[in-house]
Amino acid sequence: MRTRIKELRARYDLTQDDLAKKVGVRRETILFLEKGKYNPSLKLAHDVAKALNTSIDELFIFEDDQ
Amino acid sequence: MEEKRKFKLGLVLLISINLCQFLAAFYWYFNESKDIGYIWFAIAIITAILFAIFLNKTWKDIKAGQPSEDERSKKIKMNAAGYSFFVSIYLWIGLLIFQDLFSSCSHVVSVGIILMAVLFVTISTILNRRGDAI
Repeated sequence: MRTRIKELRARYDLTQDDLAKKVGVRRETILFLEKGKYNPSLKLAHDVAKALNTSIDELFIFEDDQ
Repeated sequence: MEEKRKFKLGLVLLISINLCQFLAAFYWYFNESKDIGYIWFAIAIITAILFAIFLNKTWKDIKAGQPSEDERSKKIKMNAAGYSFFVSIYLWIGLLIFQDLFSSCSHVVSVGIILMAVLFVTISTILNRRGDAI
């Protein structure tokens, strides 16, 4: 799995810290999400997608989807 | 406010634990055995340093507006607890087999408890760095 979090963060000029505060998680969680090393809960995935004005499908890309 | 309240409670708890360790050190040094007193002093000082580092990091996180816990940190804690439990079963079996190497039952229990704590911290650190990729 990989994510477009970094790309969308840059689009909205948000740091990992800013996004973490918006979503209500720790900065490390955003870091591991960006690297694709953490599987978020559905709620967290939804909250991150909402914070970045996108959908879960657009944000998280699975290998077999490509 | 909630985070600061939790931090203050944690601070009181950790200071109490450390104080008990120093009291134990004084007791052993002056009443029972100077050697064990020295060991307790060393444990109390090391613990105080580790607690200070942990509390400093936690306080910085609170000041930065970061939550002390989120879903990932809770998940890591629960997984680490689970792995630690399984490994500690073998640890206690080993301690029971080799219990004659210790001078008393309380020493076996003390070593077991300390090793379980070290195990939990080690596994938490490994899981924290690894993440949990698919």
